Amino acid sequence: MSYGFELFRSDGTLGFSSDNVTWNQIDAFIALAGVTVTKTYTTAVGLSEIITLQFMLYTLDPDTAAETHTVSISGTTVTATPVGTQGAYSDTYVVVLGR
Amino acid sequence: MSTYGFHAQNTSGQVLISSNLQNFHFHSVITYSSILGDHDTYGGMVNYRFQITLDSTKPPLVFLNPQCNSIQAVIGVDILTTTTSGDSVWGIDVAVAGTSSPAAPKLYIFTEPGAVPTPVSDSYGLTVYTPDGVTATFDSRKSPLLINGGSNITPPTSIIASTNALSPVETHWVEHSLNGLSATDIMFCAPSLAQAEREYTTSQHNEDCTGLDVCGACIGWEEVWDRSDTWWAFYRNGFQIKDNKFKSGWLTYNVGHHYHESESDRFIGIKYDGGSGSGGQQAINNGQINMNSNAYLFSKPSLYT
Repeated sequence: MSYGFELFRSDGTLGFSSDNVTWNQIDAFIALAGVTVTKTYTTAVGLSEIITLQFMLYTLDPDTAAETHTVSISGTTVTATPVGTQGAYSDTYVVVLGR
Repeated sequence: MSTYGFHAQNTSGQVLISSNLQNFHFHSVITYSSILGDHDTYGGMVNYRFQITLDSTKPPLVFLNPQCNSIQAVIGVDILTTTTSGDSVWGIDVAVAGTSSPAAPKLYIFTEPGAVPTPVSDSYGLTVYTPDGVTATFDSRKSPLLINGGSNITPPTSIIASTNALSPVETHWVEHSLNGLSATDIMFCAPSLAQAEREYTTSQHNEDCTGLDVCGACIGWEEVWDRSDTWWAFYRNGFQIKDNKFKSGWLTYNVGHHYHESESDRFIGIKYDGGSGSGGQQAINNGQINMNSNAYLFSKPSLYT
């Protein structure tokens, strides 16, 4: 490589390089069932991209439909909003990633 | 960036390492510990339970390395218990479609660097800390997560072929490319949120005249019996690596049946209630929810051997 940086392990294998792409964890929080959660991250200022991943908690019976949250991103603010009217509501893990 | 710390970004302006943000690091590969449930109806399904103990209360980032090309998905993540030393025992449930013991995936677990044991013999590399000087955000010795692809994907709106055939049909699936990765060296992180239910009902009706049947009219005693049967299937959004594509589809997570029957008697036109009854598992609803587009990520298992 003609620019950037590389980090090697002690066995000489490449461990990380500026040619790589990754996502960093800004936050992870639980949005409780039926509750809107809004968070603003000062550490995310200057990041070129922010995304979220959501996971349902499995505290529900397997034959019970459960509404999760719709997560929106505006600048460095992430909002998790419960939606819909069918079934029960579920707690949702929201993982906020940036790079 | 602040006036201290470490910040590295690539030529696209994407942050690679920052003293303000934690990179995910490779913790371990795990196989399932138990089977929570299974069924052989409408495509079938096995629900595998995985467990991992982490020194972290933050949920791990879970990449699923399929061992078969069936639809599969991480359907739930939660802390099962906390050990006496304060570690969290995480449970991760993965459903895999199939009727003949579909192979369980391997799960690649990524977490914050402080929850990954430091290689004893490795003193090379770079460690980045937050301003407290204690909490690591990056450690090159602990195999930081590298992302090799990904995008957003929406669950398919169609599931089945016709109203009385509840098996999911692959022709409805939404397909994306593998971003140039090999189908034999890929793992994905793709949350399953969408749920759906489909059902159909059949009805039976019988009239039995024990009196005199005159041109279709019963003169005397008549027994009337009605029954309705509803068969339903509950689906979860799942994913598969197949035909060199990443596909979003559905797996049949649960199935059930509900019936209702009633009987009445008539004597020369006067109706007598003969009783009614219901049984079986009640259907939950009829529709689909959590249908939003969601992010998914690709990485390569070969980077974490």
